[in-house]
Amino acid sequence: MADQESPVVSDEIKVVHLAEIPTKMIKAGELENIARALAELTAQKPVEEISVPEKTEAIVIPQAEARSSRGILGDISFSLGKLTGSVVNSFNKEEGAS
Amino acid sequence: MMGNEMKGLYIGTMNLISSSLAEDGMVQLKRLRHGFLKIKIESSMTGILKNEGLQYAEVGRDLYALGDSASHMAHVTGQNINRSICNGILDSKEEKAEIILKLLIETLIGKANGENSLCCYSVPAETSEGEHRVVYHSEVMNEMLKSLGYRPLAVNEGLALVFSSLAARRFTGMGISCGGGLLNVCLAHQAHMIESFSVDRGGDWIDENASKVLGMPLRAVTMAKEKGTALDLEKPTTRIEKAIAVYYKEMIRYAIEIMRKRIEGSRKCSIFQDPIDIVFSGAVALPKGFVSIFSQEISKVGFPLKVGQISLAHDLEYAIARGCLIKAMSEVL
Ligand SMILES: Nc1ncnc2c1ncn2[C@@H]1O[C@H](COP(=O)(O)OP(=O)(O)O)[C@@H](O)[C@H]1O
Repeated sequence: MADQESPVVSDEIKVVHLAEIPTKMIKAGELENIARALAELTAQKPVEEISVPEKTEAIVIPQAEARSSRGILGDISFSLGKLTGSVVNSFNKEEGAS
Repeated sequence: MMGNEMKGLYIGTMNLISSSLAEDGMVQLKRLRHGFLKIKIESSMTGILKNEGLQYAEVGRDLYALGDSASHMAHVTGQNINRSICNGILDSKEEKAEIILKLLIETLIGKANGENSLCCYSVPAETSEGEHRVVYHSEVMNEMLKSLGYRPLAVNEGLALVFSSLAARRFTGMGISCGGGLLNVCLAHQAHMIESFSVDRGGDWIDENASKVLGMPLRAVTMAKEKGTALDLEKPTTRIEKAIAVYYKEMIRYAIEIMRKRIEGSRKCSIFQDPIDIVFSGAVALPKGFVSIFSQEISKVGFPLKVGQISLAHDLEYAIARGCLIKAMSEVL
């Protein structure tokens, strides 16, 4: 990749490739009826959008422990398909990647 | 509603789901998994990625595998996938979280088409007192959607579920969305939010605990769990299924206990005189026996509200995205 010396790395997005996105269609009529009922009900009083709870009992579960890197070659089978060995070997093996 | 563009957007820990009202009287629902993984590969080789049908983006000098491709690569290279969203809100520890999230959102909903475009997006409830992290998340989301030309409007995730699933009960009852990181609970009365909170346990908690007790890789447990209705929590057959069922039950018990305490401590809840229905969304609620176990457990604890019907939302993975669109449509009427 060019320009290795430059201290400024831009976040410019150059290329994006997304495989087909799963899409499904439903009829709008039913949602419209519900929206109408909702509009009628909330016309009387505005709906509160976000509430910040007064207190909470929730506990915080630590993030999943980082899994150790496994040998790439042993596992390479299905997902990477026909990618060549040299490409595969250059995948980032660091944990957490970013 | 003609002339107004309306969109709904569910922002989950694993999935982004959009709902768009199209001109032909149809609603289009689209779904993307939003993990990402930085990969080291010469940019001259990206053609191979494309030919293989892998999803990726080149951001600055870096290359990122996206969505399902990121999950597959993380699996084969033994890394953890990065997510833009952690426990329902933007993970600001992830350096590229924001830019990748924006990229994926733009892929789903595109740029606004004109000035009257409304996008209603879901936000979770706060998990801890005084955290106010959702406020920051909403601000970032507002900016992101504005930069795409939309008028943004946040809607509580559980309330969006009530909108889409409890219309027949005059938007009164409890919506619980069960995601990877959190359970989001909203108690609503005639479309007004009475109580809302999130419980810091979800599908990932089940995976982590079952994997620890079994000494098995997380991935193996997740795969055994993601069998939807083929997994029966009341009749687990294998060792993995038994461990998964144990932690499902524990998660449900814990959530009910939190709900009980919250509702008992809330004077506002005296507004509910009739039994309330409870509805679930999210893939975590898919396994067989989920509703039955929840019903049994809630009947054991002396729950402070009378409970009516307990059920799964219709098409439960898309229920919140539908609720967000309903909210957007109701604003324009
Ligand atoms: N078919 C399935 N059966 C059971 N659990 C599932 C299934 N598919 C996904 N999950 C689990 O659901 C959780 C993610 O919830 P989901 O609703 O898909 O996303 P989000 O966190 O974005 O709301 C994860 O714990 C995942 O393992």
